[in-house]
Amino acid sequence: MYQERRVLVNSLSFILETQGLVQRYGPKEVLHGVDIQLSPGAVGLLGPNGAGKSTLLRTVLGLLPSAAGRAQVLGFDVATDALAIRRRIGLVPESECMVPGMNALEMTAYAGELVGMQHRDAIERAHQVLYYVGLGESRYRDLGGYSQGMKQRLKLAQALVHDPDLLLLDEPTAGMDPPGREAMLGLVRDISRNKGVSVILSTHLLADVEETCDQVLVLKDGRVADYRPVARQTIERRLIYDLRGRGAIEELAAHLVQTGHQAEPIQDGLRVVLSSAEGTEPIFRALVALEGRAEIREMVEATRGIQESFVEATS
Amino acid sequence: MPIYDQGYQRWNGEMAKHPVRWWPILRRGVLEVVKQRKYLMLMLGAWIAPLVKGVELYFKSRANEVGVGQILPVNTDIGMSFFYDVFTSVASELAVLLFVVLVGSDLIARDRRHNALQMYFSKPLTRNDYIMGKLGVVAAFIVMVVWVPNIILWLFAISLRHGSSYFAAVWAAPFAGTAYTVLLIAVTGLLILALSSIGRRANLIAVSWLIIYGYGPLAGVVELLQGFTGHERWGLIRIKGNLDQVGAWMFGVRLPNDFHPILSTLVLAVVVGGCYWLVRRRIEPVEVVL
Repeated sequence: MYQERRVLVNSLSFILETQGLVQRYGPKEVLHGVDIQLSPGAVGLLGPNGAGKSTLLRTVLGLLPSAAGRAQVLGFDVATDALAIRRRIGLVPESECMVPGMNALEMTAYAGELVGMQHRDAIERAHQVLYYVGLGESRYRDLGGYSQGMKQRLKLAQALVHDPDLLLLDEPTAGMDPPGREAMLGLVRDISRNKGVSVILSTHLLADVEETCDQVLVLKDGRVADYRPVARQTIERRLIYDLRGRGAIEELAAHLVQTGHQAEPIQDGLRVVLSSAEGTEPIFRALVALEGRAEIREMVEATRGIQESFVEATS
Repeated sequence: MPIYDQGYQRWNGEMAKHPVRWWPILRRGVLEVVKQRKYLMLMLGAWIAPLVKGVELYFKSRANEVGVGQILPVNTDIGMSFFYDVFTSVASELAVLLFVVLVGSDLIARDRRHNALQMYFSKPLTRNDYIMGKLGVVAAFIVMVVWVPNIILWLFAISLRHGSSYFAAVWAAPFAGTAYTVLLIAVTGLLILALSSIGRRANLIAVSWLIIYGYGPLAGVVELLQGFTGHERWGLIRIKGNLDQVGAWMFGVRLPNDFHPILSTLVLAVVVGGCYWLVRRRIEPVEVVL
């Protein structure tokens, strides 16, 4: 039946669950038995080019039939219920996609009708979401005159018009200027944190994930390299320091390593990763032990954000 | 003055209870065409020929009553062949040709140029829904310029000629006309959609359609081959000729070609099947570059 009960995303354990998911393009295997369980919320999908991010999104939408394994989205099986899934999902595709011959209002309403909304409801809702994404004033303008940022917002509007439970965003800030990017990320944050819509954000921009997501899934060569909450990064952040100074910095590094910490040279200084939560105490103890042969002029809490995790996971 | 919240709000409305998934595509496509005045004019133009036929029908039926019996002999043969002639008249053919070419050639090509397919297929639509919606746009105009005026003409003829014997002679005309229109839509529509899914430029698609359908050099080649070999079967390679043949068969009138209409039906079935297969293959929601 078409008229189905709205899925209460918060009551689901996982918005996306895959078991041994394999995807091939011809003879080339792109996803190699991916096993993931993504909890509701905002999930960042990270990975270098060719890691399989877009392929994963297309597969869970049912656009590409999987070669093996199974996937469930919002509790629906991708192989058997692809249409039911797409009724509950909004996709913001990576590449530019416009339905020609329409203005923003017509295109957004049309997207709603394609999902099954009544014409009048779709028009009303299109006005709402276009205001929400910041295209209210230009909703009747010809799409040919839209900037890249406006096109991105329009893609978001057409994905939101039917009020999806899960929003898939494929590189949503690509080609946007800094203010436009900030605004787009603000919208994504608002949707995921305040409106109860889960989000999967596929991007190669690590900062986008840090700013908007509470979980991060790192893909590398079609395999899951890492999956963790983004909040964990802030705990680790307290344990990493970049030191700059003069004197026997190498000796200071050696002393820290001997006492069970990590220290590696960086440009003009030393990056120290402390293995306990004693704050900066081990560094000062090492300085005392060196009896003034090393001098610290600057000590900065390093941002061990997703970037380091990402590089570590994919290297 | 009320202050409206322009933040994101969840939507609790109801989806259409029994949606025909391809209906929005058809509706949108038709609206886009009819808002252009040139197409409205074209449609009105297409109705002139059936209107003239209607006037002719009137005078032929009522020649004596209206006092033109001396000039126009009363035509007693307004039977199935009359309706076959109006369904397959040059005027109908021209209207079909113009609408199919002008409306249909860019239907899929434009979506492919603008990457709109991934938007369509991120919604709950199958490829068949998409094809049905696009074919429906072509079908709507063929119905408007062929089926509707000619069915009205049939009703007009029935109203002019009271009597069960006349009705018994032509009762099958609307059924044959409907079947012929469906066949016309399937063949011409799927052919233009197949070409539109391959090409990107509307004018090239239009020219290709005209050639493959049976106009231009193909018609000459067929005649040449028929003349050289003395076999009428060469006409089977011309889609238009096959349509006329099957149409005549449906109306139960004299066949325009010597070969059996089943052969023409088979040829048309292959064309329809081939075009459908091609369109399905070409409308990939995701273009994979290996």
